[in-house]
Amino acid sequence: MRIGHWIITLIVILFVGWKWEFFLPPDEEKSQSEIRLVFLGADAMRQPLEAKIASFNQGNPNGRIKLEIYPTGSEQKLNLMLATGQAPDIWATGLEKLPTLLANKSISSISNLIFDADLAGLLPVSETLAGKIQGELFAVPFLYNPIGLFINKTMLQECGIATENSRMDRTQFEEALQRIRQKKGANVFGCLVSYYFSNLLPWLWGSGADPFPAGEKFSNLDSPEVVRILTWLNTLIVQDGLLPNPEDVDRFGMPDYMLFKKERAAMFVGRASLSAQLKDADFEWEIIPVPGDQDIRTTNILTTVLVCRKQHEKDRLLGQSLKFLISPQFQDFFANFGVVVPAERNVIVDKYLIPGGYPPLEKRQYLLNLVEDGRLFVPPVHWDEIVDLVINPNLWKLYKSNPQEIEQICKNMAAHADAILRGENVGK
Amino acid sequence: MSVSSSSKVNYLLIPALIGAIGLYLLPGLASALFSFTDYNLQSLPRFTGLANYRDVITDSLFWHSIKISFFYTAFVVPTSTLLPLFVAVILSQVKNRSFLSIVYLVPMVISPVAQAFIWIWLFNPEYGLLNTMLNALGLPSLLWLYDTQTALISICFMSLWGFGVGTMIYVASMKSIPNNVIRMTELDGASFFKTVTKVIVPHVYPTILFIAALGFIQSMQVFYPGYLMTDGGPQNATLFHMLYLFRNAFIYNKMGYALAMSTIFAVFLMLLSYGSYRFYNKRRGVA
Repeated sequence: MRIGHWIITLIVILFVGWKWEFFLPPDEEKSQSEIRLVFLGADAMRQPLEAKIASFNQGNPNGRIKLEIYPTGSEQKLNLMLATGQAPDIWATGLEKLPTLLANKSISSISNLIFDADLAGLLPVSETLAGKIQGELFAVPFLYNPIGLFINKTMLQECGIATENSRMDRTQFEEALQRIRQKKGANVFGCLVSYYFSNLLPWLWGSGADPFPAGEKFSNLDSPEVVRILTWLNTLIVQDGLLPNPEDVDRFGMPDYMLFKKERAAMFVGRASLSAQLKDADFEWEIIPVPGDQDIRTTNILTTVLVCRKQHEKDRLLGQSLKFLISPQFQDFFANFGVVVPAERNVIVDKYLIPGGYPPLEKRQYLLNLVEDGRLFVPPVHWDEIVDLVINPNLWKLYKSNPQEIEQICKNMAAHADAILRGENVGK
Repeated sequence: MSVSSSSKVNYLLIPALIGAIGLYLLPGLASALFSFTDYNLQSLPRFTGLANYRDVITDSLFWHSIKISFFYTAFVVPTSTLLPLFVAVILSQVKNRSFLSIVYLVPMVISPVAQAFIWIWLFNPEYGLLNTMLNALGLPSLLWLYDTQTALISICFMSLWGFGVGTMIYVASMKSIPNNVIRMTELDGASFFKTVTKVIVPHVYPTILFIAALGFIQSMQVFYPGYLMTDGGPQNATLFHMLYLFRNAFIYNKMGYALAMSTIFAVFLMLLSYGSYRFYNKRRGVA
């Protein structure tokens, strides 16, 4: 009998613990006045972000934002939250996820929370890029990351290459590669070309090619412009040997910016956010537009948007929270943190772009130019799948093939990418 | 054992049974059911019949990932079964083996993530220890994880690092061999090799099978080296089955498709396990 009593007591304790909320008065006020905001990012973001959110909370007696940060790459955690009805009120997500979230009714229109006037201060993006679908606003642009050509100015000047203009066309770029080869020999790579397709986009756009027209269910990966620029890159790698094959660069087992920082490469194409990694470089460097044909423009990638799970009882607070998150007051945090270009353009020229007064003013001006003039790339739906299954395997071939084979490789890429865009399974 | 004590024992099995049903059987059944839907983790699943199975079977990358997992298993199971046995036999001859036992177990104490990062540095083509050693011997450097030819072999090689657990299991198993049996074989003039092959190996044969079976299941489900060290590359050279499944489920949000992959794979493993079970029983003379 004693054991029986123990078991009953244990069951009661377990029940009370399990359903503790049942014994508490309902807390409607709390749930209505709290916005759950989820970010995926480095843990180092936590403290400064919490400080920013705290400033919002202090100024808002009617409600507060509760911040949750999960490591970068934990998208599955977010997916599980959505799948189990635990979705946050606001969360940051890749723009390419937007159509899927919309199709699954995981997000709601925020047209009555954010108005065009609120978006006016944002970067000059079109309505579609601002998350507008069929006239309704579903997302707010949050983070951008322009791509440029990082140049080691000190090394280029040593090689007799003029850098005053901070611009190069493709002929000048080829000449620069030849001079670097003559002066520095085979120990220094002229420029690094990676397997990342996003790093190829500026080359493609610089030639007038648009490989993924926004909102379309087909790709232009086999357009004459794409074939032309990829053939040019292939010739520089395979025939002229002026650019290294990415496979040869892989043997260093380190990212492009590290090879650049160690002066093993004079130039590389990369996202502006990598500037933060080069703050303590021992040489003078600059970001310039990736060499194009005539009208030099550089790709700007819209990486992240803010979306909401709308709840009418929280609408007012949701609107306030969103406006706070896209305000310069909040966005300067990102400018300070990683040089990811934030949604608010004025921050780009803010003196706090990178702590310590780096980079110099002209670099910040360049970033501003990138954001204002550069084209904005919006990753299509199924982007991860297209990259993993189509683009990466074909880019591998691309850098090892003869120039005559490029057209066929591009046709294969386009056919497979189109199938994925139509929602078909493609396999290898 | 009396009937009442036997039924008490049966009652004691109930918690384990609940765990097995709740944590394995029901999720397994749910997975099989969801594999007939277009479930994407975010919206309600819709029944799609055998479409996922048709797509999986015609997906060349699925078969490629199976091939990669099998290659890994074919390398890892024999080596991770026999190498620990060899080490355990040597270790059984050593008197004070506590220190060596600890040394062999250390890799298992280190978390898989830390292990992966240690090996990434060891394999670094430019600055890694392995190439430094090769160069010191006058041999050329290898690209290790960065070459389609060597990436998978490198990961297989890394997997041998954890042979310590197998060694300890063998050592424990060998301890159950009566001392007088070993002494009698020595008195009969049997060589060390004969003692090992005729006495020790037959005695630990069930342990060998256990370690091989465990190694087989673990190897077929290998995930973290591909995920952490190579991301399936280069050129899908290390795209293990579990990694491809994970990508479909959580990166491409094709949970129904991933579950179809998982179900096919589970059936395949079950058939293999049943085959090996029949083979084992046949060898033991059990009908």
